[in-house]
Amino acid sequence: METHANKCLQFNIIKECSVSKARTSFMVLPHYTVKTPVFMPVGTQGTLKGLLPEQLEALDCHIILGNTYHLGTRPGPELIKKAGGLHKFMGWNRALLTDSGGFQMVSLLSLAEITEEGVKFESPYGGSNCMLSPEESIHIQNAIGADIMMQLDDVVKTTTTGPRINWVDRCIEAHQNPETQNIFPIVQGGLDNELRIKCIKALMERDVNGFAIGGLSGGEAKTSFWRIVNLCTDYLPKDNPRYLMGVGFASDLVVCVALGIDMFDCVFPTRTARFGCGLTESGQINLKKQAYQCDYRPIEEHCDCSTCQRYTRAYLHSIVTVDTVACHLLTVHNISFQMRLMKSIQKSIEEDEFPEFVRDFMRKCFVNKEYPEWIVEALSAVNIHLDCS
Amino acid sequence: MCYDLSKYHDIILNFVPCGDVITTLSVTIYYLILQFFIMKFILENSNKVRFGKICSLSRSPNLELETPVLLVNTKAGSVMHLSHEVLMKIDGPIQCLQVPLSNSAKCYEGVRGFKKGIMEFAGMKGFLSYCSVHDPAEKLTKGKNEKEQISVNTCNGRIYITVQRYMEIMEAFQPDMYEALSDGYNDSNSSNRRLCKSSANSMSYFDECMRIHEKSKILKQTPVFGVIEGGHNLIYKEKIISHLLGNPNVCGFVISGLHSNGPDVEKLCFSSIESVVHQTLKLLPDDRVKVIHGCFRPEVVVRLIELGIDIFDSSLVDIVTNRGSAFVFGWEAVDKKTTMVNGNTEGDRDKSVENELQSYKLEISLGDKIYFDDFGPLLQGCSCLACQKHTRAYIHHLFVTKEMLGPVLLMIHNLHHYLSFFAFIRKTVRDGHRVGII
Ligand SMILES: [Zn+2]
Ligand SMILES: [Zn+2]
Repeated sequence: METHANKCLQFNIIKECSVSKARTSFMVLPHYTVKTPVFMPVGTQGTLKGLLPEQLEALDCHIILGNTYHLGTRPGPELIKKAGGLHKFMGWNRALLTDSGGFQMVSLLSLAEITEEGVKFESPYGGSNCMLSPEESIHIQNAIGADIMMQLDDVVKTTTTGPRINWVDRCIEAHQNPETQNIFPIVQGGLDNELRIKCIKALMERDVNGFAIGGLSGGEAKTSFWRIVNLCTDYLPKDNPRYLMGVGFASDLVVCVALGIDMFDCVFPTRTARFGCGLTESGQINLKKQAYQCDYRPIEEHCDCSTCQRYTRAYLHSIVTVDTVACHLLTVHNISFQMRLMKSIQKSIEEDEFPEFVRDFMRKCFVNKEYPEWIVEALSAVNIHLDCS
Repeated sequence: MCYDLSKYHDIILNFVPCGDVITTLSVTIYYLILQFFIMKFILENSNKVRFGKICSLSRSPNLELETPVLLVNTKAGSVMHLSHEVLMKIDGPIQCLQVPLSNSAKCYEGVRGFKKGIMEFAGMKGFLSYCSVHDPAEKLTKGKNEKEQISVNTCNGRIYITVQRYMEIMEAFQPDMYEALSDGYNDSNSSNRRLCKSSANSMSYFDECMRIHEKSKILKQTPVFGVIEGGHNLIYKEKIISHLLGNPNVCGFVISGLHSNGPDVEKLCFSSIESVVHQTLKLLPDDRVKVIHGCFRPEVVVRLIELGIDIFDSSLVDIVTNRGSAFVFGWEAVDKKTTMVNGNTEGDRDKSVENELQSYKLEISLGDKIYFDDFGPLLQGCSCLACQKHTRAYIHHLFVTKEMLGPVLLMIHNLHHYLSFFAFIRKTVRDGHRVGII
């Protein structure tokens, strides 16, 4: 792997936590150098929920995610290619990551069926049958041109008989732009330790620059969730970035960084903004509630985002879910909240004070130290002990 | 030179001639005194097309508004689709924001407790505000108007507002200028019965507003605009005007009753309102500000300015943005071949202006499939952020996928364009030229 002539991802670890598996790094990508651990906001259709690219830059957002299934359908790979890639099409000069489209397809289309060839589905814009094969997914992702692409994986079958490793090879084989785009394979295997280990071992034989951990953002028990994450980071190579797909709640982020994860994505902060909710250190507040009618504080004291600098909860309460401005303002704050959290995580790791940071964070998050058992267990597995008494 | 006259203000205001003892002379003297403290309108040129400036506004004495003014319409104090952060990326000169009660009444409880007025409450501290009753971008549909209260369409349904409540809201909002409450449910199609009722209601609302205004510590220093309802009927209009003129607090006049707001106003051609506007203006003193609301097409706006209207609003921007379109009309300075006094123009010029209606393209619709792979800007040569950084193809994609950034980018372009249009009008009329739409 080190001999790869056109390595378009460099993963430079700045500092590792001396207690847990947490680390902070610079991930050098073709369009931008991303500082990790990083949270990637989801911009499904080539736009991030009403925000301008310069607003995302002002929020110090380094990398965002686009969805291949949506972009492949509208406006389609040909147009994006003609525009010079998604970066140019949407006016975003920093890093981009695209998913494979497979997960979206299976969750959005009830008729999707997975065969050896790929994911078979009925087009939602006309009745014809279509096929998303590993080759087709990479073809679309090549047209989009994101810095990091995901392999197409079989999200259904992996939980029973193990992942289709040959799909990774078909993706790598079909990849046209190895100088400018990375493929991350996805570790699958459900909640089965043996399948996960088998999958990791097979993936590590491939020429790739990073790994994603999939299949863990569903409804599985938290106690199984952290054990699988912990297992994967034990087996994955230390000198490559590890991306835990679909995870984004503040406390999950803190725990998984401790377990050795570098990258996260989640629709939660932007979705909850649309429903009128703002994120704070002690949880989310629903601005529709009457209690905020005359609350003249910002969403969160000490938040330096453009929303909190100017707008009160009371004003947001009076326009929430009616005027689109309320949604924009909440989205800005919620992304700012996620970015600030990741920045404090990075800083605490750099100063080797991550365990203290975690304890402090959990105290603010859970009143009276009523910590969920899985968090206590997961953190103690990496030698961070919460003071529960 | 600047004198701090505000400390004398209360003394002078307490000499207000009121009620039955009012005389024309005392009204005139009082109005002259009022100008020092409340709002001053300096008419710089009434010979050709009028222009001037509004200054000495009691709440913002250091700000000046050059007329013709564009009030930027808001929804609850925010410019539609634009947060303050994004609004600041528009480099056009925003002179004053319009806050219609119909979309901002929901802020009342919050603003009242906040105590610093609607602008600061809405995150718009530093902007001048003008409060109106209805949102000109929304079509008026008549509810059951009572003698003591008026129905207002809001985004949360219809609410009924008494004069007392209206003035409480104005006290909480602390606008820089505001309109007296009126019964606005009248237009060219209104029955005589409706016009009669709307006029009577409006005059009684006005008296009640003024009674509260004069007693209110917060409002008595705020310029009030009287609203002239009465549809297109000059008899009613004249009756209301003489009623309004009897009160020296009135700093300006809104010529209302021309239409029922909403997108239909775009269909109005100048000739259908020219006579009523012209005749109404004749009844009004030159030295006061005249306002007309509504989303008139640009060529109608130009003609209304030539007739003598000073203040307009940006409801056309809201309407065009919400239907997914971007302005592409242009403007030019035209040398005046005919002299024009108070809108009296020669017949053949009128014809050429009527032709303008067909001869230019107002907008392009971004939902149109032809923009699917059009990588040009919304409008070639436009310096707005949307045109500098984004393409028609991208904005088309945002509309097809119903993404919220689509209206944001269109709003940036459309507002920038319309503000530039007004800036051009102000400059051109000062240079003594006419404005043509191309
Ligand atoms: Zn904030
Ligand atoms: Zn533009």
